[in-house]
Amino acid sequence: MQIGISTSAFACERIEDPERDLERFLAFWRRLRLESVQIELPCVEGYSGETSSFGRNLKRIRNRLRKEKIYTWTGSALDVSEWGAESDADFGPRLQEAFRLIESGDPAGMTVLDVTGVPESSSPEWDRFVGRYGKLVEHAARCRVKLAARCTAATFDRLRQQIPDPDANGLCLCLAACHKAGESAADVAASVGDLVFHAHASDVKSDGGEWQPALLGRGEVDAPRAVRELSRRSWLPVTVTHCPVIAGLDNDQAPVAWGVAYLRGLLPSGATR
Amino acid sequence: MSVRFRTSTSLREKEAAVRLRTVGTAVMGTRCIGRDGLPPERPKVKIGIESLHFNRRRFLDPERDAAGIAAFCRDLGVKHVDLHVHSVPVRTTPDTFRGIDDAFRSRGIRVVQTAAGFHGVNVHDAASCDAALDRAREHLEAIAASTIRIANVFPVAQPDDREGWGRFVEVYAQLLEIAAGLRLRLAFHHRNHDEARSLLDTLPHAANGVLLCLGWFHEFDSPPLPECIHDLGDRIFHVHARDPLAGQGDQLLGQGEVDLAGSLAALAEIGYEETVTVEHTTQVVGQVDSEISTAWNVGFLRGLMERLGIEEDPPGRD
Repeated sequence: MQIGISTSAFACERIEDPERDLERFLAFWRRLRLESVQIELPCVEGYSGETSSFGRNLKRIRNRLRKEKIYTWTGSALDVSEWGAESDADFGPRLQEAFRLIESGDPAGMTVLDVTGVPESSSPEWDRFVGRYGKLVEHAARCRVKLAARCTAATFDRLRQQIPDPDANGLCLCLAACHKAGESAADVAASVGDLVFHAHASDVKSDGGEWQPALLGRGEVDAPRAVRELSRRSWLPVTVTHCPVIAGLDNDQAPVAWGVAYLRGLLPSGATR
Repeated sequence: MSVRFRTSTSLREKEAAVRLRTVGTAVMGTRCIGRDGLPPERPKVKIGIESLHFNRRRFLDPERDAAGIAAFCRDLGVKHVDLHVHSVPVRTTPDTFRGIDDAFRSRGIRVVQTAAGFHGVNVHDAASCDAALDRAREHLEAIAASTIRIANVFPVAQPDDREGWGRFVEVYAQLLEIAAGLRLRLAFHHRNHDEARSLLDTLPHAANGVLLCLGWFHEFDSPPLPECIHDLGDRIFHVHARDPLAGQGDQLLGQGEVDLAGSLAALAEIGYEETVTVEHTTQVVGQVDSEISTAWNVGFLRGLMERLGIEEDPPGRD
């Protein structure tokens, strides 16, 4: 597995000039001796505007990352929450927009694109969603970009049965989200196997009926078992994210550092690259 | 001096894992041995942080100064603090340590050790030694008024200065008597194993123990740390977890040369029940006051303990 952090961990709210805007983030990244990066795509200049400038900026980010010898980066995230409900007329432009996002990511070396807002497989809009998502998967496969759906294991199980593409249709396994859904992250990691395209190393605890983020290993997730299972895949990007707030601090760099260190301590040297 | 024996990280990890598999069998420390046919207890280690982390001030107002670091500890799940000499007011009163200790205890944190106040000593000058002993006595009496039971002492002489070392041993024997009379134990911050073993053998006093600084022991030519730990055994009163790299100083835990896995495994094997404190944090971009490197170091220890099957005491889960 390739441990990484998100650009959001260093409040990179706007990436216009990667040399300038990623400088402190990458200094932090180097200090923690990481292997992968999650880029928050909406922060990249041009994301919601003209496509060619977005593509150019992604390539500049790629060039900056390569100077650090970072070859694995994940894009976060394509939102498909409206896909099952929209009319065909409204959906057409949206699908084209998603295609362009993938087309921008491919030449910029985006390894995985996370997909958020996948409906539950039991929802009435499921069939329509799957039909549309299938087109996205086809396009992603052509562009050699892996799609990692952030959803429950039960939902992903149906998704992969209905769209069986082992190269482009995968799961983003968020340990905390998995636990909240009543699933065992370790069991999901084992059963989904190589179709886990991205993982979020996160933890969670129940506090008076409300879910609260927890430091990795401090919450209710059986993180050691899940992480050991994930560590069997040397190429897998694992992003430490969804961290709790620590008293007196106004950013999440300390809990992110905790999470990375916890993984380093947990895994024998050589288990990550 | 012993010759340092280096092994590769992966080999050391394998050795640590093999050793830990034998925890619970005979010869490896009584608290780990299964009794009455029950499965053996998982070994436990306490994690602490240094009071300087997240708070550079001296504790002039214990309630105010303990509040920030206690909240930080709470969020990291840490229950133990090592009260650094630079956190203690320059002029102490009989109530100094009780006040600080109370401020932490009321927030669920235990102060496990602090400096004994034995410093600024010229061992070649009898008057200086007497004055230092008097100061230390007052200091230790103030510590004894709190629940802190371990006080640390830094070297004021080196064994290669035979005369100075001889004088120091005489003075230290008196300091041990004072500490014992106050029901305190002294943890000497030795540079390496040979010096620790030498002082323990010279003064086999129940109050005479070792502050095992993994960084210093590694840097100052000790045998492999697991061997040191097994040899020093229950004379280890406190441990400082550090991970320096030759020529580059302290690193984040796991990024240096110290055999941390082997050391933790050995501590579990001997049934070590005191605290492992993370100290000597390093600079990280974005860090204001050691908060990132402290969080890293505690997180690393937690992960490593999980790998080695060692429980945190008390359990650190939220």
